[in-house]
Amino acid sequence: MPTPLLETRLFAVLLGACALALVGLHGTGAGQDALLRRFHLRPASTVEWVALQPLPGMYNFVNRAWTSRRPVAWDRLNEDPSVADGKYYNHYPTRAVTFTLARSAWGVAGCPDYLYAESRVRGRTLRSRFRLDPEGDALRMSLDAGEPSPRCAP
Amino acid sequence: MTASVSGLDRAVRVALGFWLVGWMVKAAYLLDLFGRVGMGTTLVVDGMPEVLWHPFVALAAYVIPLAAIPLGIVRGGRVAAACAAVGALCSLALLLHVSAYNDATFVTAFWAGLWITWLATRGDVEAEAWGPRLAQGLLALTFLGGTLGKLTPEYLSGEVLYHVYFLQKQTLFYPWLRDALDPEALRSFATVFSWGVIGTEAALATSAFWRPRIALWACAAVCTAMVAGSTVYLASVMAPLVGVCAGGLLVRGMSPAASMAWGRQSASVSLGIGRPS
Repeated sequence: MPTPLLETRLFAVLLGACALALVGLHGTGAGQDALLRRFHLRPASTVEWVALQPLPGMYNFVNRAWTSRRPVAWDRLNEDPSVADGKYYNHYPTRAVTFTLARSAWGVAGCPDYLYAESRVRGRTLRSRFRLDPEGDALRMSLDAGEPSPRCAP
Repeated sequence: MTASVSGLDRAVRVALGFWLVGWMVKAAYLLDLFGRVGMGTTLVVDGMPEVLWHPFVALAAYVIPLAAIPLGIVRGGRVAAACAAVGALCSLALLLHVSAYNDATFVTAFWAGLWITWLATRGDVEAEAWGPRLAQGLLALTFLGGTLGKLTPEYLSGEVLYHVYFLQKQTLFYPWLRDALDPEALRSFATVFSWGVIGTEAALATSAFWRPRIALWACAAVCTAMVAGSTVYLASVMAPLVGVCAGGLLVRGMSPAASMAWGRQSASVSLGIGRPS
């Protein structure tokens, strides 16, 4: 085989580095946590987001998401299917809100709606509760500390 | 232009053609999402910089390749290389954007775009010698990512695919299976299905080390079968990969000199074809 040129070597190194990164991330607790955060759209930093997103991760982990018009306790999401709309997702459970065409339907009553996302891999679990607040022509999605707005308390 | 150069050009154009098919499979949905929905109700995600949630970024990154890639297919050569690079950059923008980050379409389009850009800027000998190998590496990386994330009890037991496919899917043969099988049999079938998926992906994760012809044909067949067993929309993810397979197969046997390099390394050394002409 002919000796590869620099660009070819760089491409091969990039592919190899990504493969090693995948093995390292999936093989360590800290790596799994970073991959779980990525699936919940809450990376530790923008740099982490940019570094992880090009890595293939189709149909990874156990992912569930629920949407609700009011805050719901995590236990009730699993026990009572009537309290929130829930589904399994092949990856990125937050897409229940971000990738839907019905974006304008959230927060129509002037009160926040809620997105619950849960992902698990080999005993590690990440749970995220997001508030969906309408702000003019925008919908703001933010991690919720769990304090319902007094105006909108159930 | 020699015959071998046009052979390389053909491989680039075919790969770009598959790339474009993948990009357009969900065009109606994505244009609606990035256009009407995105411009009407901007999704702002706390902690993300504005460039990653600004609706214009997503719309522009999706629309630009719709013009650039056909131009690359028609013109070929260096224009094709530039257009493939544009496609890779736009894919990168979308896989980072909060309105599109979840769609694996943009991950495979990004990697395929990089590979096509590389291929279109090579000489015949370099392309033929290393194009299939890099294509194999790219495909193996994709399946490695799929495999590692499934090595968790809920996938091995079939629970995840039982819900995602056998209970929730409303297309293809899944509703029929729900009617035809009792819940226990359906659950068992899902477990077998899940093991089949994991085993196939794990095998293809090693395909970087297979013979190029076998590896590229196998990856193309599995990608096609995945579309057939899931939804036509999965073609948006798989078509760029099939294009890489097709491009890799087409550059093999392209030129007599490079063919000798493939078959007899010692011959390539004596002929002095280490660098492209």
